[in-house]
Amino acid sequence: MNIKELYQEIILEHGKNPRNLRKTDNFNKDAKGYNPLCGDNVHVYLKLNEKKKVEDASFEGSGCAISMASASIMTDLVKGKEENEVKEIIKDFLVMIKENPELKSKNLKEEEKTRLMCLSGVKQYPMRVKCATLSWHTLISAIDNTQEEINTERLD
Amino acid sequence: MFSIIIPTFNNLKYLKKCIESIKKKITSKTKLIGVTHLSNVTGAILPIKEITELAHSKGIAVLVDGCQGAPHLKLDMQDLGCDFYAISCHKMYGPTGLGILYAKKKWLEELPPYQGGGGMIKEVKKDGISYGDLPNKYEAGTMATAQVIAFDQSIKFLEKIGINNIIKHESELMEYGKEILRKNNSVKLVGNPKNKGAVLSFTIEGVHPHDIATILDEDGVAIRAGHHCCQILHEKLGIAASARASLGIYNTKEDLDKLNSSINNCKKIFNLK
Repeated sequence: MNIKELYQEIILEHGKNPRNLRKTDNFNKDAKGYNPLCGDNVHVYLKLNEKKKVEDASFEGSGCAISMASASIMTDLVKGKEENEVKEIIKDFLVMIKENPELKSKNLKEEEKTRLMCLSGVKQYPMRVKCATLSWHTLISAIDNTQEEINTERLD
Repeated sequence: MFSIIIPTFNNLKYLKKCIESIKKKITSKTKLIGVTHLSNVTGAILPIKEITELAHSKGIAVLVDGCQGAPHLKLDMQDLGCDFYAISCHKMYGPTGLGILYAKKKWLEELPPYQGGGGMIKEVKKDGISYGDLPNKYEAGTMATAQVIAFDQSIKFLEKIGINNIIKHESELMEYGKEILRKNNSVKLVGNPKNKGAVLSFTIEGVHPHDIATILDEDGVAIRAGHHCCQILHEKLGIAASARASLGIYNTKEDLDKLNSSINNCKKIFNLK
């Protein structure tokens, strides 16, 4: 695999200009995530309406291009989706990033799948998988409101 | 009770400043000064002898992290005078899982053994125990025999090359590396101590160190990225992480040229000029 497949334009662009890098006003769910080995940290904020639909998603934090791009694409993608749909997308993404060649979720449009697949290159770089998944694990913690800080070294 | 001393000095008054800064941190409660011999981030070499003189004048013991010092500097324990000196054998081209803690005899006699096991006792009776003579007191159980034998060979290997040759080779490489990285715009070296060991820590504006490491790795250039177990230092320097090229006896100037061209590749991928 070529390094440029890992650092595709879309990743570099999201890494440089992350979307939703802010704190949602009146958020009702949030969680923090941390990778103690590399120092990447993320704080995910969600605002769900009474129908449990994501009205807004945002994040604060710092990290490498891959972790920033992943959080940026993720927060963009979950907006407008229902909580259970988001959970299903997370599961689909986490399996794809480690083993599956493609995304299977019915809750993702083709264009959304294409955007997420840009991150699939990390599969070839086991050291970097945690960079791509940190914000997603943190999103699970936010949805479940476990108040638990995600630590990449304590994940399975 | 504990003060953390971070080696970030970079001017001509290095020694004085270093000692003054440590002096300021000492309180009536200070019992031990823990300090690195050679910073694994900036490469700063600390004046252990002078630090020890200061500490001992106030009845304070000195523990030196010599994991970086031992493989790269001339060690004369009597001259340094420190109370404890810790060495990691794999950093001396030796086996993993083995380390050495040098300590002055008075401490070894005074301190209790940190673990019990076969070979470390003298006599066990119903109402008491006495420990074996040094160093047996601290060598409980079956030792890592294979690693110890292997490490003996590592020391012989290093001695055969000679520490003066090692220092000369590494400092020439370090100066060469420093020069080429300085000329490379957008590369910023982390720290510039006067007495510097052979590490080149750097950042590239706009590229996170972990991204640098992945790209360099792909080019066959192995560096370390992150906070190198020095989060407080990175916080003080105002950077999240850094990339570090560590030089040793195997390295050559060609390696550093390759490092530089791989950094240029990294800049290209990230669309930097």
